[in-house]
Amino acid sequence: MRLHRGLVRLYPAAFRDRWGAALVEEAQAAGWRAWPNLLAGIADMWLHPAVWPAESRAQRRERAAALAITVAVLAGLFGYVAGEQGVPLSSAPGGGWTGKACTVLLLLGLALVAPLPRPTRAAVTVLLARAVRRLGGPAVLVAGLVAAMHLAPREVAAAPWHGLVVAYWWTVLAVGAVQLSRIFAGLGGTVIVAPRSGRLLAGMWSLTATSVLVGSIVLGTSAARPAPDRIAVAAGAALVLLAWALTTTLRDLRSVTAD
Amino acid sequence: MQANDAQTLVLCVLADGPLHGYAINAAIEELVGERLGPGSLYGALARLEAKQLIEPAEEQGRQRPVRLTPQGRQVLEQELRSMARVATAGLRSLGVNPA
Repeated sequence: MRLHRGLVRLYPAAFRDRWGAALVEEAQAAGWRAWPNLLAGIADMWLHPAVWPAESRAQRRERAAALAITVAVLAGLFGYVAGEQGVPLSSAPGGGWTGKACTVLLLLGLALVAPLPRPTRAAVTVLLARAVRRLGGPAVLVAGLVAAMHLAPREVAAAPWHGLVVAYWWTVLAVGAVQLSRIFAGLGGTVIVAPRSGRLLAGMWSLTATSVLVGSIVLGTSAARPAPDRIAVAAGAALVLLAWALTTTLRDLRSVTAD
Repeated sequence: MQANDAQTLVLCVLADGPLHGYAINAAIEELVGERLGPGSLYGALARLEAKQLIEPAEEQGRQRPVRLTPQGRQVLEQELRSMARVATAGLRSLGVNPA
């Protein structure tokens, strides 16, 4: 019983508020056999924010925009990981232009999907306060590492600290990426204006193209090498999966938010 | 949609009138012989509500039943007609009387 309640708590809050109590009852009646289906349902709902119970179409677009921003931030992070693993975008046919084109597509997509703050002092204050709260921690941790690198560069670069510092760096970057994407999540119509359907769809297509392009380049370049780097391959595969997540949201948006 | 699609099954059993989640699954079990998993059932309900094919009906105590909207009824009819056409053509090709 407790486990079922615990699993249902993993659903998005909007979904739990609407269906949570009935879902717990149904899951309890089905017993342990319901667990795999519940876990699949949880993943399914997190990947489809546009179908969560909502008060308006604008709220659905706001949630889809939050997912798109998450994907954009993760795409940037995975592209950076691949570059650091020796698979830079400049190694693709087209050289430096390919990397520039991907960056332009990513920034264009971000600009198109980003909800805008309402032009009031209260809304801007709420948004800034949330940005500071979400990004303050990761910023302090990065500053701490940079300070350590400047104060004791030899010690930091030597064993056993080197491995720990690399793990610390990537963990902080990943946490920062997640926190960055959480800034706009669930702010509501009093603080931000959700992008219009056309702008949101164009932005999501741009981000999908970025993820597919960068993912394909990373996978193709890695596969062409005698000993493919496993981390770069994983980053490339993750980028292609991110593109898939965006296309499912695009499909949802077409069916639920047409103006 | 397909005949065993969770959303189609939910729409089908709601054609008789408003039902709450547990009753929907019981009706589906009666229709096709097995229940939907809870994740599949409530995922289908969330999607159908988002598409405005179902809507909340009057609450009965703790139960929160849902019913078809006029648009939901129309979509269901189109789907069933389409499935019926495919089933009739398939059965005829197999030499089986579709009646």
